[in-house]
Amino acid sequence: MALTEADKRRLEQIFDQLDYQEQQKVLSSQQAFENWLRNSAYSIYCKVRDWLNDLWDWLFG
Amino acid sequence: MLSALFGKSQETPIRLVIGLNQVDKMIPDGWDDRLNLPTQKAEKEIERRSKDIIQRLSRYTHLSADNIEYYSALKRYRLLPLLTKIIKNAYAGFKLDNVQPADPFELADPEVKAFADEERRKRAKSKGKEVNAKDRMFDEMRKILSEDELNLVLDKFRQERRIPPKVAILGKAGVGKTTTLNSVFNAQWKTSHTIVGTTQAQMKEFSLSSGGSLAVVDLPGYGRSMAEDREYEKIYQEIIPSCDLVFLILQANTRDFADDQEMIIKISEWLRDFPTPQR
Repeated sequence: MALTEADKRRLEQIFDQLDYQEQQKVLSSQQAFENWLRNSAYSIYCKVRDWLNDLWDWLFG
Repeated sequence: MLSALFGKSQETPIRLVIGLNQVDKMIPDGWDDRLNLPTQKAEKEIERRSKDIIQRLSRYTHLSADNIEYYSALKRYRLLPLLTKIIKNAYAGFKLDNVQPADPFELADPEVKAFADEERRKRAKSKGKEVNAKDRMFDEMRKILSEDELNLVLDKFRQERRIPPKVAILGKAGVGKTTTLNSVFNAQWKTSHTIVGTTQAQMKEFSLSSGGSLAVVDLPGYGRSMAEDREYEKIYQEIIPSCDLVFLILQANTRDFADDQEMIIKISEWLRDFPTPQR
């Protein structure tokens, strides 16, 4: 059975949600890296902490 | 800072994710099997009821809503938000960032699958070149760190990448643990299980579709009897500190979360005693 216009709109809506969810996944990975760096090499984390914040803004600002 | 708007915290997250599974069963006649999606009306109701459960769990257990997600493993619904919370809260969760959950449209009608494939192609073209954030991060770090410091980070990063993520999975019988693992990690059970120590916990190894593997400790389920629960608690306390993540699966379409709330509080306490995995 062919897709109706309503089906297509619903699927496009779902794909918009998936695009947003993909972005959140990338963001989580960055956060996980930062948390890991803080635990694994704290002195280095302190050196790059401010710059990491700028990267966040660049990525998601 | 914009990062604050995304809930970025300076605290190490607790390595616990609560999955509210089987939300597809919450609303009678609320699922469109042809699209393999909830109807729009059902989706709103699923969201409302799930958020209500999440709020209650969060209030009683003092666990952040950032550690709880609702989904359906069987229907492959909301697997990306679940994976996102896993990546965010697991120790070195970035090791899972190449994972793509199983495709929900594989379960839909063929013409729906074809439309979804076409939509993906269109969107991939319009996105253009994806930014590889980690490559950019290391490039930029070169400008800030000395060569020795950068090599130290890179060595630690590579070493960490070589260690398969270790996930303890827990939930009452029939809650959908294996279906969840297969769907969210798009993983296949690789080897026959082995008993961990003298306990009923089983170690399983899954191959990830993105490469590498996932070590899963399948813990015995709680809530059958007080005697069993006491015995199992010893097992949990022995195993949980070594894990990168504890993944507790609950059935969303139930009303009684008393045992689960108690368990969440205990696991949270054990994990707070060991903020990083004891390897």
